[in-house]
Amino acid sequence: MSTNVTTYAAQVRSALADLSAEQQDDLLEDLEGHLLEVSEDGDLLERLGPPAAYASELRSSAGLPPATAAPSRLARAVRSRLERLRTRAEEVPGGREAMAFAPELRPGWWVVRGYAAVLLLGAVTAGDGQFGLSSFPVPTAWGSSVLGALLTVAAVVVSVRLGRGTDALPASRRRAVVAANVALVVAGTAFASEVRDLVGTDAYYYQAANPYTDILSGPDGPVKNIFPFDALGRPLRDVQLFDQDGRPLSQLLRESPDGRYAEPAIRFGVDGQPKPNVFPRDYRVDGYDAQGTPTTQPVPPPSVAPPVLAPSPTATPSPSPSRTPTPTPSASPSR
Amino acid sequence: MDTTQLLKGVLDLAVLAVLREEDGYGYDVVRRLRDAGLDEVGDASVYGTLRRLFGAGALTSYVVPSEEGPHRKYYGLNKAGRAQLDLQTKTWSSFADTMAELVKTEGKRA
Repeated sequence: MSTNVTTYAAQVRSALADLSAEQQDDLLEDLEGHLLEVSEDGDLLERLGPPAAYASELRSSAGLPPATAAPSRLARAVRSRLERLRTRAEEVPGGREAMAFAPELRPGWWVVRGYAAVLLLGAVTAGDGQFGLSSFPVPTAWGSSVLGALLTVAAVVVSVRLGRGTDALPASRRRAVVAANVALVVAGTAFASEVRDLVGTDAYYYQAANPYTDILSGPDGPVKNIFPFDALGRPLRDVQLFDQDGRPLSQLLRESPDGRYAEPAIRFGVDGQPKPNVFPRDYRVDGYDAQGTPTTQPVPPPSVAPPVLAPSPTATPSPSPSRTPTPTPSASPSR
Repeated sequence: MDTTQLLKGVLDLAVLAVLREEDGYGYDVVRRLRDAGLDEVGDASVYGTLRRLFGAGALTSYVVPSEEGPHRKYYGLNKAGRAQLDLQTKTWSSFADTMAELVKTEGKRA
């Protein structure tokens, strides 16, 4: 018998589908209790007539206009399915309480909705390839976080007012609001996954140390090569340089002075390991010699005449770096 | 003569009159109306009328919890409802008297 009540109630509800949620609740809140009592006295259909007739009698005596448009088959099917879900949810222990609590979360959703809409706007109008998140959590709009903040306040206000008034809207407007909500969630999810990728790759790139921040710089630009001279001003070759921590000095810009070659010719130690801190660097030239090894071009030293130094005041050599490099004669041929 | 049409015009008055005796919930009001002789009154009509009168400010309502079933919503007359009842009673009485006179005259002629 209770199945009949549920079915009957669902059909009455669906016949009132074009009314606003508030109006439906008003008309239907006592319905199931009423149907239960009537069903105790006899068969529902006999005593009350078909659900559609009941619904139309109910709405006309309540002073409401008759159904505007018969909801489509699809709409009715969707609605009856939702009804069945709702009754199932209420039968679960705690389900009724959860369903009763859900409306209290609506204002929170209105606030989130306004904020998310501005975030989405910022992502669409950003020109920085970062989806307008440069000042997250403050959204940007056309790159401006001030504008983004102002729009957020306005959007939240609009969203809350819309939320409070949604129940009183006619059915077609309410459907539009629901559709807009769904569209916002879908678009937001799509952007969120794109942003996640962006953040991911950013972190990845950041770890592969930015090659340009560590480069030695002189007053006129990055250092590309080092030309050591001895105390008498004679140019030195095959000098291995290390910093104060014993690290090989290799953070030099890789391109050759005339900008033509990006690859310095790397020298190798007898251990077979590349030694990038041998100066002055030679550069690879297009072409191969008879043995098939790429030819290298020594770079002429800059046209400076280094002075002859006065003898050093300290008799002992300058302190060696923490890790004394093992002297390795440069291997030949250089690759 | 089909009383359904007649009933539609005076259902407000009938519902108000029932509630003057005692507060009631939907199905209770339906039963009392039928017991009073108005067999034709439809359940849905009574419910809709109760909601409309409540919306118009003529009724108070309160929910009475119940252990065995869903909670029941009780309605009662408030001051505006009692005033409306008095006014509609007067209107009805005068209308009924007029109709009675009209019919009597017709009957006499025939």
